[in-house]
Amino acid sequence: MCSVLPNAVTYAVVEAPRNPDSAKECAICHYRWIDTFYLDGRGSDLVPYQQEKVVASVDMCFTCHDGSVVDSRAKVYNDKHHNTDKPPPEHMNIPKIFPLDEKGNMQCATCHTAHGVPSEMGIEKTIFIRASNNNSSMCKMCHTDQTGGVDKGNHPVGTSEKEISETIMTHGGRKGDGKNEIICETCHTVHGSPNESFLIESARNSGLCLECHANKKIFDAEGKRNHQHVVNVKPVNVTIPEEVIDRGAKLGWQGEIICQTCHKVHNNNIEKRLLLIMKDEKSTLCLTCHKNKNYLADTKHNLTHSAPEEKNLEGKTVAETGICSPCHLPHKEARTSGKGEDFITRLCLSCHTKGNIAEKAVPVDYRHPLGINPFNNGDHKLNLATSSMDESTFTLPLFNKYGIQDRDGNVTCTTCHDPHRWRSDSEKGEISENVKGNSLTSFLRRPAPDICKECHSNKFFIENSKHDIAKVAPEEKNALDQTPAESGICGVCHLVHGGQQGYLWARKTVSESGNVVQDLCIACHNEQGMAKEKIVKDYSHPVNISLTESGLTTTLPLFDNKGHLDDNGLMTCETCHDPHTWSADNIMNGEHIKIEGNVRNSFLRMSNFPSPRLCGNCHKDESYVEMTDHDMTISESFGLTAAEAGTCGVCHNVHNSKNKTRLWALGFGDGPSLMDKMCNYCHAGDGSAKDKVPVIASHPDDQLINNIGRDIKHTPNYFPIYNDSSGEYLTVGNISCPSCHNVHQWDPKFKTTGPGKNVEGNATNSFLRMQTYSLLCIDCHGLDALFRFKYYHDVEERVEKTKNIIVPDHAR
Amino acid sequence: MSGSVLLLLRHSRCHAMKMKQLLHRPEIISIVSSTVIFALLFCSGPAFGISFTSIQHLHNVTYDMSEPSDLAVSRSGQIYIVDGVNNRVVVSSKKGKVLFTFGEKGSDMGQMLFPLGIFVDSYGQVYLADSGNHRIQIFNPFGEYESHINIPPFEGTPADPTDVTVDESRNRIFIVDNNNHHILVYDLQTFELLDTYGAPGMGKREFRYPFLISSDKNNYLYIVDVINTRVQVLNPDGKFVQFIGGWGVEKGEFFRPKGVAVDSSGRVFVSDGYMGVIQVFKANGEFDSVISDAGKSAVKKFNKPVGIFIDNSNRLYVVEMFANRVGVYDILH
Repeated sequence: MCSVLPNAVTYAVVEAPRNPDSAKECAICHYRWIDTFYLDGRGSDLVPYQQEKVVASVDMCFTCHDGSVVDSRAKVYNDKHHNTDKPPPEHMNIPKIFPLDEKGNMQCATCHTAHGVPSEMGIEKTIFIRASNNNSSMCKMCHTDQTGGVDKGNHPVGTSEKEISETIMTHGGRKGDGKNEIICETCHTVHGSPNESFLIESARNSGLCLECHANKKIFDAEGKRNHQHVVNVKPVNVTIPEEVIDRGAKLGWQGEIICQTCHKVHNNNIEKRLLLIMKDEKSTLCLTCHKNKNYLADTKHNLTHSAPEEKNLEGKTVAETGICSPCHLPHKEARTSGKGEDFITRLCLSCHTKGNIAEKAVPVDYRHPLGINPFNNGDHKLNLATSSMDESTFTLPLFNKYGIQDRDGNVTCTTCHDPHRWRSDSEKGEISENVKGNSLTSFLRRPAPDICKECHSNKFFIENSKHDIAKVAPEEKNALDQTPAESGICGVCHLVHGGQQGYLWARKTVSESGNVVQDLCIACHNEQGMAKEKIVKDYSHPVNISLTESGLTTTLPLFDNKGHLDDNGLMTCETCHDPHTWSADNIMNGEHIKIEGNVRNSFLRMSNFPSPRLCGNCHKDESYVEMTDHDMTISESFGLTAAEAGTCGVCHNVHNSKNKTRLWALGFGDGPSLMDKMCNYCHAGDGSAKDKVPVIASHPDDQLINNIGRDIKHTPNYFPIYNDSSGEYLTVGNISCPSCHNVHQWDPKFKTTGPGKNVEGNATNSFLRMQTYSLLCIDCHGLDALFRFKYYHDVEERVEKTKNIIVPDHAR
Repeated sequence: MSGSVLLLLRHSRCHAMKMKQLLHRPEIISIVSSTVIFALLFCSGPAFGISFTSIQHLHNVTYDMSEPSDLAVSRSGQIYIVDGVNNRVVVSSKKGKVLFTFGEKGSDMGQMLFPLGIFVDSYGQVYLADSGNHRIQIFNPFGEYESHINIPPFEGTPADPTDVTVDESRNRIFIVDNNNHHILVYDLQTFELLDTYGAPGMGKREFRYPFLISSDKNNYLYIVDVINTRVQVLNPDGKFVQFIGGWGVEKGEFFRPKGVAVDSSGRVFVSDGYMGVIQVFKANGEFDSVISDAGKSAVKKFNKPVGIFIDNSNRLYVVEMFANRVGVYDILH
């Protein structure tokens, strides 16, 4: 008999029903009404007996809304919908028309019914809901505590003068029937929102709020920073107190400050008008988070003390709206911005400008540059970088152009100054008529010079050197009449505010050399200056000269007239000297003010001994003299030790030479011309080169030579002719020793330093010029050149050919 | 007589109140009495003699999917899963290691909007029912877009393509248009609409929300007819062949049929999304068995089974929509 059942089933499916099966049509959702359960009172081989009502359970609805009839997967299911399978909150009174299931839980059927209800809403809006939801009226039937607008501590609903953002609509928000009517569904959607509270757009990034409250955005459409409290940034110097969080304040998902950090938009029983999380009485809300800003209470930045009558742009005095309000309003500009390069500067200059309340403290030109990132500090070689910082220990804040702290940002006023704290070592300020800032106060984040050192640590090699004025001239005063003790080590020479153009110079300049850098040095290094012992006199290395024009190149710094680094600029004092570093190759920390300088220190950018690196940086060709017989540091010394004078300094005095020509540092020997005399000082019987005295070293002096075409330095045929008395270059004249000899290069074929030992020369080296070696004599004398060379340089040859010539005694 | 009363009881169109009224009518009391006796004697309690087809679980494919709906397996064994709410297709190896995904939300070529069904042909071409965009998109085996067929509205109702299958021997694509209750036949080469099978209704070649589709080795079409709670079989020319299953919760009946697959011997597997079972029917449409786990004589419950697939190795693949996974099983005979 049981075989009947399969047969019956087979029959049933083959003969398809022609009319709707009412029992099936109902039971297709009313699962427990299926005959097996309802009539037979049993389960089947496939499923257990179904007694409970599951008609409107989520699972049942999903049997059709899974895409097989309607695809509501993304919108309704996936946990992105109004709560189901949960009881409503205890405080909520659910009207009886919204049935809960047998367990008291909300289900789809709590709001929906497949049977439809009368509604003035069109079919496209009803979605089989149990009551009209026109203008979110059904929402309000349960969520009674979220209605009533600001009077009840809720975000206002109803018509609004303000347009509802179209973006709200594109995110699925809805308007009410009235003009710009805000309804619950303007912000919330019951189905399909992945956002908290079923918001159409997340409010955890303030996005939803700012759709309508666009005027609260901190950036306008052009990217300009508005005067709004920041949102969507993590609090940097602020901790949101627990008490604020306990009141319902929310943060972004990554802990950012958002609109809802200060505003609670529903059930706000604290501050209904602005829906604030706390009452804001005289900046109390601000100071709840910004506790350390209260340090300004006893400073001049509390206008209660300095400008009690001053009103902000809302027309309120500090007494009326609190100590923050003169400068800050959460969503408005508090003061008319000053002119400045960045948002914060403009804030500061809104007071610190002429005609404003802080005109006594106007940062006059020239001042420390703003808008620069100290980590982008240029060339670290030769200590040329303006700043040198250890990122791990750098404590000062940098700000982007929007005034938001940003490690990649720039220096602005508040990088060095904390306008809310008078001195960094105390939370208390100072209030009196005569209070005057100094390097410890002045709202500095750290006392000077420590604060300078944060960026300019590479300039602090100056400590304990001859340029440490506090050590060498403690009574000297800067332009502000401050002693080094008052100004700090940097303030002796530089003023952060009000210095002179070019290095913020803090001292009176006495010269107008045409180059700012040089004038800075001369300010002290002059006959009346505090460095009068170290002044640069005549017959010194030239300055304000262009290396380009001299055909030289260098890696040393060159400067334009205003003191800026310029690769094509002029050579000046600071080309060779770094005034902050006594010894570049050997940084000295201990006191070294009494050490007499030499070529290894003396604030030189690089040591000139044992190798003449500094001089050779420009004078490359001359630097090949190193380690040759002409390198006196290995040959012989002349008063100064080799280490003191260096290779070049033996023959040339860079500063204050007795001789103009070649800044000659030695004496003069015999000879027909000045150049010969310079050579013969050493190459004489009692000279240091007495072993290298030419037996005969003369050339007829009435045979003037024209060297046009051979007077270009660095060319192979260079053959210089010099004025006999001044040593200046000529194109027509007599030859002298350096016409044929390049005293700085042993072998004309090899641009290199010497071997470091005494070697015997021949006609191919011996400091001869290339021209001399190959062509010169032949040019004039043809094949007779060799004879003539020997004639003029070899006594024996001369005697044989011309018996009546008298050979000098010293040549025999 | 007994049989007809049984049918009356089992297939009554009355709900409970109607039944009560019916039982108060004197002319039927005698019928009812004999029926009740019959039922008590032979049919009370669970039905007798249910058979099982055992399956052995091999592995699952999971990849943070959101309500997947269908799958297809290529000849090389790659598993293509429609992860529709995430608007993508997840592709895994035969062993279930996810290899790549393709697709993103949108309406441009290669993008998709809540796709539902999928088919992979013998060349590895992937045919996706891009339901929200009212089109079929065709991708190469690597998920690169190749072409598409826009499905036009029918009598003002936008097309709702929920699944697709291809008859390579006849160069035809069969597309289920769920909201319009018919099957569209397109030329595989020209993408020209050739024919339309079916209309709304409950009779032969009529559908109420056809959903997923499959085909057997003879290219007969097996269409899940959701609200008619049956699988309808058509031959490749669209002629009615038979119904499989019917309304109810007994063996051989469906509450919400969702997916269908045919094995190499012609057995038809049908998933039921609400009852959570997969039933097996003989080729002639008779109930055969229900799926159970290997070694167990109990109906295996799936978590909202939807699309199913049987490969040439006689492996059963089941998309469990609520579990967000695909289970892979060996079918044991």
